Amino acid sequence: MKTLTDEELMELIVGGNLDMMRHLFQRYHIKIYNFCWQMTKDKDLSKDITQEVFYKVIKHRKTYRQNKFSSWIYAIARNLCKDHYKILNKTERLNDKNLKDTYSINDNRSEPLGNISQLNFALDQLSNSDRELIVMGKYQGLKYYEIAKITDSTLGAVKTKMHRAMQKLKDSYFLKTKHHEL
Amino acid sequence: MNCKDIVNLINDYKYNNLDYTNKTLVEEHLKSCSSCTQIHQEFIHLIDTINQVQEELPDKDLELNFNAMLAKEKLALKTSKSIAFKPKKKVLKSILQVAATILLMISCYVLGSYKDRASKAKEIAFLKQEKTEMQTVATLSLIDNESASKRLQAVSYAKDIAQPNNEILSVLIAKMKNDKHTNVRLAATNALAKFAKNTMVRQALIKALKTEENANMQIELIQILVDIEEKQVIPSMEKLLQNKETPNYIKDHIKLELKQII
Amino acid sequence: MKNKIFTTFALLIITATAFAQDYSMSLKGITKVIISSETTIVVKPHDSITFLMKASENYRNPNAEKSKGLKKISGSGDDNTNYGVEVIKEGTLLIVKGLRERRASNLVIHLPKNMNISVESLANNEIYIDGFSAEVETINHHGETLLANINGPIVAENGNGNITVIFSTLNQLYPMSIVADNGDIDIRMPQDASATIISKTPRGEFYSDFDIEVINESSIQKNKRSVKGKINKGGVEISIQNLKGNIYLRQLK
Repeated sequence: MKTLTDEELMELIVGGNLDMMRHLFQRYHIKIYNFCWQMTKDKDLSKDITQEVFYKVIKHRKTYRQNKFSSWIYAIARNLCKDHYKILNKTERLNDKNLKDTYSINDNRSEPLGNISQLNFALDQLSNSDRELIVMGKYQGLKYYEIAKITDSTLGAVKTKMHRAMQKLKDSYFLKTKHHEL
Repeated sequence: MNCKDIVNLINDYKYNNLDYTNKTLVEEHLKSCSSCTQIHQEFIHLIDTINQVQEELPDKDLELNFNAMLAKEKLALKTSKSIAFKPKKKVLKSILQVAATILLMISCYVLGSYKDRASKAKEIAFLKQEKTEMQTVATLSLIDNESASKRLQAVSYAKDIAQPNNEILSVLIAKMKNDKHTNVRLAATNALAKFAKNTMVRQALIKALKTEENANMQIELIQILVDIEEKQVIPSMEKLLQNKETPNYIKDHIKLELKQII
Repeated sequence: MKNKIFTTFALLIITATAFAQDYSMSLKGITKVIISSETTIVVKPHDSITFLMKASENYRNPNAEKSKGLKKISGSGDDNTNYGVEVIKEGTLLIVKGLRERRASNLVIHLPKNMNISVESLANNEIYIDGFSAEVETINHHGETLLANINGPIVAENGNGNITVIFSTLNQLYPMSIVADNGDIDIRMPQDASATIISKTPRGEFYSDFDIEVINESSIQKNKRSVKGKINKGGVEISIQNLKGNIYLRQLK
């Protein structure tokens, strides 16, 4: 079973073999969860959204059309995160509790954590659409054409937006460093 | 080509996304322009930092909830009536919580006596059905879990169902026949003992004894079948007595049990 | 000539140090470690989220010189660790297989305290697991098993040989089960631990210094050798079944 492609599994699921959903869950739940986590910085919420994503995949399986499954599931996750922003604006997103959550230091990791918390800070300065692009493209390694499909955009537009977003991220990342050095 | 154009290309340069001409252009430019080199360095540093971000792992209840939801959807598909399962704001926290709420509701109904008897009985019947449904879902979602503890939990849910459907009985029979851990097989066998009046279960128990090789399982099966006075168990027991590979202490036990049933 | 000797010597040192490195692997994304081996297995906790085999505890290869530069060809798996052990990631599982050549020695593995563990010892060897607070599953076909300083949940099976389980506290989340064919089951738990015990000893005896409040239940087998009872008002269900040996359930003092 494990050698079937996502799309083949989805075909079986549409045909009524819901058990195949387990394989797709195994393949995607950590990615989707991390996408939500980077977008919301709220663990419980990310869990809820991830759960909701898979519920939607099952519920709307009949509307799935031969597309690339990964683009489809990311599009669902993205829309759910978006719904969430409509309710919660950005200032609320970064309340104290979440800040602590986000920048808490995990003792078991050996990387220079200063950089990562700075990166988190810089990422949070971006608009939702810029952040989304960077999380998908650079954190999760999706290809430009996949992102274009997910965001319902063109390859060229994604490229341009990505460059701009990366520029902004870099600027706010290094601005922060300079402040530290002063 | 000016610095602005180069900066636009640097991103792709880092990912080797440039064609040969542009790549050479960027490389040539970087050699001579210190400000672009710095930008390039900064991007490399940024990308390296991004690559250091580790994946977060969700709590295990995400998977449990998913399994519960999947089981519920399968059930809905089977009975082909769509059960409203869509969670409102927060996605359901845990099957157990729901089950606990239902139990609480049952006790409330039993205690409170403001309703007339007939409708109360009806409500309770409905709630009982709900509870069975929840236990069924919980069993099915955990029975094939990687964790042996969770499989034991699934069996224990199943055992508590007053009138299990055939799907539950079939998964218990499957677990009795096959699981990595004898512990889980014994638990499933024990749960089945409770439903031994069911013909399918009874036949499965008799059949299992014929092929069973694990001594603990053999004794358990014999015990159950002797307890329900199932005469069909006798030939299997006699066969075990004749088998040279059966250890003596098991033979002694079988002889003892045979006296009870004959 | 002198030079040649020196070079060989240097080479030897390099090989020795290359082999003597600890083998460690990140357990990021791993929820359970499944170990099987034909040797005695020792699992100890440590404070890092890694799978670790220490050279000082594991390294032994008397044929290192002879086989230098050659790759071991084996039908039973690939030694990808230089310790005679094969380690494979499979989704959220880490599968560890001790290969056959380790038959005469111990396999010592360090894991984080809260990692779920499943251990199977295939023949004539012991399992020692000490100080873990997550799910522990063991199957020992022939040999002794010792699970010390654990909280459960546990699922343990012993073919031939004694099994000793020492609970420091009793996790109430999932039912537990301990099964043996031949040999004794010895369980120790804190005096104030709450549990519901179901014990079966078809050919042995059940001894305990706990106050066990026996429950008469119709579904319990008519056979007098089955007992179901509550300890400290009842709690997590622990099934203990021993075909031939005895069961000892003691207060931890």
